[in-house]
Amino acid sequence: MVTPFFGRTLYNALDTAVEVQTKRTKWADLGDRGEAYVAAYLEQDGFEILGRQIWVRTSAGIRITDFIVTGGAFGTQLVGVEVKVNTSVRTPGQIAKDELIQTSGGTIANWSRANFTHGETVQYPTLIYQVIQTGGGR
Amino acid sequence: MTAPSEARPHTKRAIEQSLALGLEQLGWTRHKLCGFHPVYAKSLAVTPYFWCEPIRSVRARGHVIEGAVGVIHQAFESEWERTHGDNSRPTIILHTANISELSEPSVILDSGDLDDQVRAFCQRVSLMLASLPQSDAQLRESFALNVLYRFPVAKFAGRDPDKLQALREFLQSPTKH
Repeated sequence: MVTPFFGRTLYNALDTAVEVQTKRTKWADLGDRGEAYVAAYLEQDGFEILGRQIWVRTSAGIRITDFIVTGGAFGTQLVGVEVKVNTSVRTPGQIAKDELIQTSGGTIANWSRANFTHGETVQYPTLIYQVIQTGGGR
Repeated sequence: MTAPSEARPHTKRAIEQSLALGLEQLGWTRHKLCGFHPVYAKSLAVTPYFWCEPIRSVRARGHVIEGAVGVIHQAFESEWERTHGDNSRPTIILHTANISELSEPSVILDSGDLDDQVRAFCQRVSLMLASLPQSDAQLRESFALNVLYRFPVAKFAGRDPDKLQALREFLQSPTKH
């Protein structure tokens, strides 16, 4: 689905292109704004957000997952969502940790999260939602 | 744009204090119910709640207040803990990132007045909590109508739809309450 949009196009890992109305913004803001856009599109894709910026400990170190969601095409399964803006891609370290979380699982390192308990094991695949700047400011 | 408050620096601690004060003034105080993490709620057997997660910094902007809202039915939660042992989170739970009315004012900008921004967030939270069931009868009615706030009940299932179904059956059982 493509919706009229100023400035940025958002593609998600379900091969859907979506566009978001936005204003000119600074690079320092892009990551956070990208997350805000993605939150709206996660709802559109039928997901429930269970937590944001979740720290997951793996054998390769801590991985901070932007969102952990459930629902949509994945039913009751947990799914990690990584937000990338413009040409940003996952680093090799992030990819390795994501694969570990999917295959072996990781443990929650945050305290006092509503949907996650410190130390509990979680295992999930990671989707990439890419917010791409198509015009306007940087 | 309001000038930053010099008297109250924007720290996580200051935001937590302002939040506690703001919600208390609106009738929502911190309670530890059914062994859960302390939540902002009322002293009721069936109470709406706001579970405030640790305040999070946002690059170059300020801080974010996030958490979850829902309803705690204390009799059901006690029964669940007795029969299942583990009971780490309430049955009816929805993260605030799913609720635009709460996620939009949840960013406390460094460029604005801390107390004003937190107060606005508290008012939104209070409005939402006030619209959630505050008695066994109201909760049963919400389940019957399949509406909690403006969402279908299933949206509040969190990670455990089976537990939500158990609550539904508990509410339908005349012998349980």
